Amino acid sequence: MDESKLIKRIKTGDMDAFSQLVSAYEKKAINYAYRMLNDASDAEDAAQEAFLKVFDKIDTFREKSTFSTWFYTVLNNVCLDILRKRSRTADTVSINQTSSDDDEYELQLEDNSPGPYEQLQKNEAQRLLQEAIAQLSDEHRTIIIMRDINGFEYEEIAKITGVSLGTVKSRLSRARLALRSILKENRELFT
Amino acid sequence: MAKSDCKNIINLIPLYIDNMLSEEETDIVGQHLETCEHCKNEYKFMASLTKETKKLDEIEVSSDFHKNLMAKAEQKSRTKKARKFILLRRAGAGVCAAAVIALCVVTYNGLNNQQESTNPDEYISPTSGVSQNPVKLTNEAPSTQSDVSAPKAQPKPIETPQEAPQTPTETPEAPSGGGSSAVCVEEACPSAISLDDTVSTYTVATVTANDDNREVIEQTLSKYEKDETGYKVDDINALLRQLAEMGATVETRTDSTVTQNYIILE
Repeated sequence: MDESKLIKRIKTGDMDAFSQLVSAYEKKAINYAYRMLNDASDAEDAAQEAFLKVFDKIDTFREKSTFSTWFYTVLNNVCLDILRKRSRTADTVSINQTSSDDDEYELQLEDNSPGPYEQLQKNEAQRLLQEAIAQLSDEHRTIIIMRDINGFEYEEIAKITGVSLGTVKSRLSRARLALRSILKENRELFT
Repeated sequence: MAKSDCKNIINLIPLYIDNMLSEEETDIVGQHLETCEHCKNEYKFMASLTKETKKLDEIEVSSDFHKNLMAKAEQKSRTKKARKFILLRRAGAGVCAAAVIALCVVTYNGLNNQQESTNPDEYISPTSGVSQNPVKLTNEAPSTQSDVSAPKAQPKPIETPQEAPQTPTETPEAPSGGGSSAVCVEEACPSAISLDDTVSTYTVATVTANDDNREVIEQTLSKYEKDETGYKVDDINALLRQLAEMGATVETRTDSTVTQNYIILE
């Protein structure tokens, strides 16, 4: 798929071209949002909002960066907006975290965790990892998702998040150390 | 091996995994891992976490996601096209109006300067034989699509330029009552939503919600910072369109006493 050609067609109002672009991005976009928001329904809403925003502003896209960078910038901002609005409720997993000392992280599982039979059906390591990622700060979670799930290069992460390469490195470093801290009691599942 | 060494090494492991350390740091970490079992285990643990994160199961896209998204995009596209059409028609009508006014002015001036004429199409006063308010008559049909009535071939004083006939723009309708998301052309409905994306001055918009849409409108606005004036919004036009689509009534005004765009919810 030649993205550049698709975008030119979308600018002329070609809805079929937009549909093709959506098809190419929708699964990754929804999964990105899912990892950020930890809710499938919210993830689809966020992805939809991001797609409609880029559609609305497609005429302003000058291809100075790749479409992927632009799209994920929009999607990331949509997710962060949703997170800012969300208030933490009592029944979410609580965590004591600071951004300066990652050793303070500890994982507390909520009371309505899956029963024993359900646990047997799931990959325990994956489940714990997903929960741990959900407990990271927004900043740490963003960078883990971008780097370790979506596979973005450091430079692209810098463009999407609007920070320097040095900041990307230090944030990723702290994010991975934070995950280590959260999951240290269950390390036997990962080694 | 000093504990502080291990702590430093562990802090470098995340970037070591990605080969993002300097050459010197890479060598230091590599050599340390060869001799320190504790740090080697930490490296294996963090590398495994990174690997497992890449393998996390993906969720599937729901069956109606694409369809719903395309429907909304189609709607946006239609709105965009309608907006362009209205603006083009207004521009066209504006050109017609200007042409008609110019024609009237030229004709009026021409007739004022004219003395006696033998042109049989001209009106000549039956009393004096001298044309009074001579009218340059024409048999040409109006060249524009306007409703302008060309001067007819009968004794009739030309209208003054100030009384130029109305141009046939679509008659703008005033916004209807509460709960309407009526959209009008700009100058005729100064209180309506501006369709133009460009906001050149600070806008204060009063948004009126009803019982049906208040909750969703409040939720939409809650993400914006609020002060004693109202909600501070940068891209106000996009948000006003969104609120109008939700069924809110929107009235806007420009305000030179504020330092940014505001939305006031009533």
